[in-house]
Amino acid sequence: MERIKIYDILHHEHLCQICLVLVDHCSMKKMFDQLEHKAIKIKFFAFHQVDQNGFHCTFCVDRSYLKTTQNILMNLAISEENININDAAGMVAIYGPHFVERPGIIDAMHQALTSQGVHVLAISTTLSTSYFIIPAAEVVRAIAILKEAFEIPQGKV
Amino acid sequence: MSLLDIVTAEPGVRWCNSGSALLPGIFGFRMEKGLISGIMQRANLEALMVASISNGGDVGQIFRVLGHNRINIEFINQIAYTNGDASVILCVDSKDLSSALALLEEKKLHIKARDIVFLAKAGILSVFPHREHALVVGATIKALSAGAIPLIAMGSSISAVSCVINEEKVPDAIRLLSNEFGLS
Repeated sequence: MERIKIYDILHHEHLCQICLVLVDHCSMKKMFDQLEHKAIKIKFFAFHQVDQNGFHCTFCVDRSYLKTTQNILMNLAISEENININDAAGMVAIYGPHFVERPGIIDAMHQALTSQGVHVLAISTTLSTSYFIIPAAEVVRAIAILKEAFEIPQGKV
Repeated sequence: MSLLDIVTAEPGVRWCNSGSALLPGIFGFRMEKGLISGIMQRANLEALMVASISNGGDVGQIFRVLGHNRINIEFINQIAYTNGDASVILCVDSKDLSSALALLEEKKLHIKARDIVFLAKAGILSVFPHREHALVVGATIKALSAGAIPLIAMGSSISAVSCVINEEKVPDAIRLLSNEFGLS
């Protein structure tokens, strides 16, 4: 079966994943303002409204900023039970030219990783990129899996 | 409008000039030293949620069944809850809505989802480039909240922050985002 062509595989092995349950947008806005103030880059972000009572938000920052990020969350008085932190997260992502019109790309990526036992913690797929958050220890193996699963120009990754 | 940037439009994507109506083609962007350069729009979409997938459920069945039936998924968010459950929000083209719902309903037991829910006729607005700035995420949320535009979902990609909103709110949202980011 012909492999799907992509431009490249992105990866990051040094992330922490912060998962929040929030009741309104205000605290989320304040949190991102404070992260910006501390020059903390957002490496991954996914958010959705679950029901009328809450929003779920997952984002990743470089692990070196974990303490600062935790302090920001404390200052926002977000209850501890609504915060879940994974301090050993990693990320693999693919991007390419066909995401808008070609079905099956996310299936190929998900199947390739999960069939090899890689645990997927979060997904954000938009116009041209598919980001998977996975355990940091799995990133190197996940890159090798994706290189087999997709056709990438020589010299990439 | 100041300088025009030459960009390659992705097929089916309409690029919005700041403050303008929804016009086809490629438009220029205000290339001043702003936080973002432009806003992209995808229309004619439907937002669905696969809700409360139990820990151990097979999320891959969602992507597999839609992919095998040639249904393109234009936006996906999967978030895990603290108890190990998860939910997935996805957007498909309007023409694929009934097929997607039927296929996912068939697979609900395998996925171990509580519900397959149609959320809204949707549009996706993407502000770019975000350069990993938290401020871009925060400002996007602020602009849409100020206009009381409910956010169905948001996600980041290599260059853009994308928001899924109700389709009828898209013109207002473009105006609000343009104002917020100084594009208008």
